[in-house]
Amino acid sequence: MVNKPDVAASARGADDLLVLCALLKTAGLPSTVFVAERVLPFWIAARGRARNIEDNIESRVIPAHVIWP
Amino acid sequence: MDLSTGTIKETVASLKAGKLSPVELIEAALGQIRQKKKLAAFVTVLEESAMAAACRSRERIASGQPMRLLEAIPIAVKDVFDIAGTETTGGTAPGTFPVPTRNARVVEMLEQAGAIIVGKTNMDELALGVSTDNRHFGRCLNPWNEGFIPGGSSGGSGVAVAADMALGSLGGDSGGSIRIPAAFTGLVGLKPTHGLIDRTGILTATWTLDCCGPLARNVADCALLYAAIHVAVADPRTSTKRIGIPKQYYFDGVDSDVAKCVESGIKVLERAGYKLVEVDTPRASLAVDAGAIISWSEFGVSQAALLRTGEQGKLSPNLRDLLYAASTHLASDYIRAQQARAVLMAEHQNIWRDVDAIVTPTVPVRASEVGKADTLRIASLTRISCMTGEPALSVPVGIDSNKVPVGLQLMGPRLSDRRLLEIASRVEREFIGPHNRFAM
Repeated sequence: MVNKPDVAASARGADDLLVLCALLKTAGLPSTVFVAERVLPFWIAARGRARNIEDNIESRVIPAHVIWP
Repeated sequence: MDLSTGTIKETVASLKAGKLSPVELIEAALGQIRQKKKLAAFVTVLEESAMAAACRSRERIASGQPMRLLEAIPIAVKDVFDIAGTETTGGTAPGTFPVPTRNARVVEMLEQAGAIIVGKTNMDELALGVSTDNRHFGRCLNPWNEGFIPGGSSGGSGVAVAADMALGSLGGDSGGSIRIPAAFTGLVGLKPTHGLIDRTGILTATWTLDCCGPLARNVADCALLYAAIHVAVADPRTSTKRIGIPKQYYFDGVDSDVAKCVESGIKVLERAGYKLVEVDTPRASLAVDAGAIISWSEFGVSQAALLRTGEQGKLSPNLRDLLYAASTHLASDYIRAQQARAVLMAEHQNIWRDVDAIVTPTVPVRASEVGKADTLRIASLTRISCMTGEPALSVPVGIDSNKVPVGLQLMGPRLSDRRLLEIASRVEREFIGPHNRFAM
């Protein structure tokens, strides 16, 4: 799956793919091809979103006194 | 009979005065549903049970029993609300979920208030979308202009009311799914404070975001439906008579005709005596990424059984792929998104020190042509109040260049639901037609 250049290039680091490979082993997904072509883009998009958040808030910022839904 | 005029309160008064019978009323609603089948608003029509309920209501009125809040009022509910003996599809292929044996709590509450459920409405598959273009139950059409989407995911609930097939409806909202169809079909739609509506018996995908609420033709009807389904908790705040206009994010790149309509709504508020003040909202954009991660992560868990039981073949391929991806989201990403959510909530708590509500477009862009919806953009302003758990509503303030309605969104602090309805009623006065509904 790392051979898909468009997908692999959009991951920010090899660590993402290593984590994903470990997860997929236990997730019981149908096939590597299926994962590479259909699931991986969504997964990488989510990682990208998480990184956007990291870029925008201090990791130690935990506001007090908020009422959680 | 003509279902296109009058408020729910006036209809109940006509029933009480004997000018109208519950059977006539329900027959008229069912007639509209049959006649407007091509709008694909309904997944299931409950003709038999609705007529039986109408007969019971007729007997009740004839025996002099007191009129209930929603006596014999035809109501439609999104197909996420359980009705005993009728499948809750959640917009998926029939047979995906077991048939419920009990009604959802809110359905019980509506029926206790006298309402008659005429059917279950069309939606995006598992509520993931803003178009209500459903491969199992059809493409739901906007009655204002059939070439444009009615919004979603509760699009059927919007169309059912806008096209007079019901006098009110319930939808679900975890990112805008009540307010978006309300905006695009010229209705008032309320997403209440998170936790005020009992979600027992409602198909849930994203439990910290999900909320259900009413769609109606006017604020008074919306308030009546809300009164019937929520647990009343007093709002501890007193009004400041100040409305906030966000400085950042909410008005960025808004379509010009949407901006014009919203501007006219804001001017109405000013004329009604509200002081308009600018408020800082630098963190609002965090909701886009954090909302997506929270939504997908919770979806991946709540619907994991669909993957385990081999039911994934019943989902559309795109949704199945998303579900697989969601099931492998990292816990650390989810936690990071919840952290962003807390930052957003803290920002809002500061805002509510100065104002009763903030006003924004409900959707920053015109309704899309059928088949061309940009989901993220359309839901970009509605997701925020789902993240904070605060109430928000959409009230119509004009039509765009394609003759599709435009909504103004009011967002307020927790428990300010009734105040938002009150503010919306001031906006509505300028845009409501002679038949107690939005008309241009």
